[in-house]
Amino acid sequence: MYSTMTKDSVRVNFTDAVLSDLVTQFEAIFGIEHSVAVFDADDVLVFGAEPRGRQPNYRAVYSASNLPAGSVVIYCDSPEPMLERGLVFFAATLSQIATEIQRRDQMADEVLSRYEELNLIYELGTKFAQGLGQEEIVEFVLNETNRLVQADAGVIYVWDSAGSSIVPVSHFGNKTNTDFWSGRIRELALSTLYAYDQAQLFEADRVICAPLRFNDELLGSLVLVYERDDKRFQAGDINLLTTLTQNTALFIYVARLVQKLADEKTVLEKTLTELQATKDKLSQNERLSIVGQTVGSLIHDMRKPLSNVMGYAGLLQETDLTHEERFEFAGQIIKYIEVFSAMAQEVLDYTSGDAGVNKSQTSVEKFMTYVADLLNPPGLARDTKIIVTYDAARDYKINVDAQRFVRVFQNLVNNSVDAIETHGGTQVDVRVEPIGNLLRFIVEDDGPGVPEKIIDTLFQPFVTMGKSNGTGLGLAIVDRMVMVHGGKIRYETSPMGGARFVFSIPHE
Amino acid sequence: MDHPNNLKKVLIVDDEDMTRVLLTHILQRMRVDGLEVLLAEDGEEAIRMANEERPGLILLDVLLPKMNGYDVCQRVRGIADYSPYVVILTARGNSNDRQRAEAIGANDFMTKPFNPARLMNQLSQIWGL
Repeated sequence: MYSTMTKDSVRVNFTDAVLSDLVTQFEAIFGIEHSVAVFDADDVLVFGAEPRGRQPNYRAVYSASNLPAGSVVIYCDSPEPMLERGLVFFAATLSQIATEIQRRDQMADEVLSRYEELNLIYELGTKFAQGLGQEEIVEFVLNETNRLVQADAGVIYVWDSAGSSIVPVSHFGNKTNTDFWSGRIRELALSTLYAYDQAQLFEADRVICAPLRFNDELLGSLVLVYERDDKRFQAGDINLLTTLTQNTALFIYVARLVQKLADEKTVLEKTLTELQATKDKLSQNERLSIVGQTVGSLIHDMRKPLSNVMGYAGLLQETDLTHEERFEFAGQIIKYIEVFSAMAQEVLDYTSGDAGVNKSQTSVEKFMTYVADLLNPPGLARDTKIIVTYDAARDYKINVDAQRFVRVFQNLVNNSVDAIETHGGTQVDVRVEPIGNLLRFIVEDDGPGVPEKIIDTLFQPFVTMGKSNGTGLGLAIVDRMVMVHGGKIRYETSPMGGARFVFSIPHE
Repeated sequence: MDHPNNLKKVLIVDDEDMTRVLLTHILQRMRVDGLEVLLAEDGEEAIRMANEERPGLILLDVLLPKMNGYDVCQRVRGIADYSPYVVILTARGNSNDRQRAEAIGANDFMTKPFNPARLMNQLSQIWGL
């Protein structure tokens, strides 16, 4: 318990020992017993003799901090003038002590309130760190305020998020007081915001309004109401309220910011989801369109040999064919069915991709012999020379799917031969050379080379060099098969003047 | 149909060798005396051969390297004292193609893939067999 101060008196809480000691000494000096009583500012006996209806002989008022604090009274049957002077001295002494107690209590009060403030800020920080929202923070602040300043009622108004009106977020106290809930308090809160927003506190008629303000932004108002006359605010209370409202405003500001960010994040996420859906849909359409183009391109290419088959089949229907003509037309049909079949195989190779690749170890010699035999089948006379060289790499082991890896060389060499037969040239070289732990494969020719405008897209499907009997998948298959075997194919101009394809794969 | 040209001297213009071979086979199947078949792979070669050889009948593909069949036809029509019988060959054959072929002065129109019987029938009419 501490001293309390009102506008015109002070309540001092003497400890019993102090009063007991003073009264005992005083009575001893004047030789009286049980004749001195001490009253407080409200005339309540705080120490000494029971009056028992007796009239005091002498009364002296003592004060504290220049305000009346109470009185000292002597009940004595035979008073002496000396006793009266002694009483005045006693009252003066009490005043001095009361003032000191008052100062001490004020200091203690201040220290305690500083401690409470710090503690409250700490608690607020803890609550905030728990991720509490605006309402929880406001409720906590109001409860703490109630505990510390013991108002009869309190409310925290906060501007709604639209900033159009203030709404009570949390409250305590006498809800039946119509004043409290109807216009007056609200008006006071509003006037704090509008008229007094430069002031830190607005106090009037036992109502105190403190703006919740952060960074020049008014977020709301804390209103406390006292219904008792004896309750007065003190300097410590005002400090506490100021600290509280400032910190509360900060936390509300941040809580709103967090909420705003969360809302924006939600909106962004929703937009992102919609965008993704649109993108998925678009890319699905794109894929369908690519599939459509692919199928169209393939059908266009594959219809050519079939229309020739149809043409020769029509010729075979003629009745007066010679033996030679019949043989020739049937041979053409077989040829175009082979072309068609090769194209179908190319499509299958491309669409099956890496699936079913089955590698096994073999020697370069064995594999390249196989390649050479396929490229130069016995009995086939061609104008274009195909020269396969692998002596330097003969004994190296490679891990390949021979059936599919050989397509790399078939496709590259067939392209070269086609280009040479159409545009001139004489030979195609296929070479294997060991380089460190790699084997370098080169397929090059002295033909016309690849036209500049398709070099960049050479390995993409459906890029052709103008061949009429291809699907446009040959080099795409080559690119993929080289990759499956651990290499990366590239195109360059050959020193021989034509096309040169180079890639390396590891040997065992 | 009055053409002072030698209709038995035929120029086949197509960039695909399999088509050129098939058309040659079909022409040969007609067993006409004095048939002479010339082959060209692109538009420029076609014009050069038209100038030099003056074939009386030109079987002309539309999609050609270097110069398309319509342009070849117009250039051929510009050659003095020469009016060959021109047959446009096309994979499509809708009315637009037909109108365009007529507009640039083509005499006839054949659609791919070729039905040899129909083609031979057309050739019989051209040759007046």
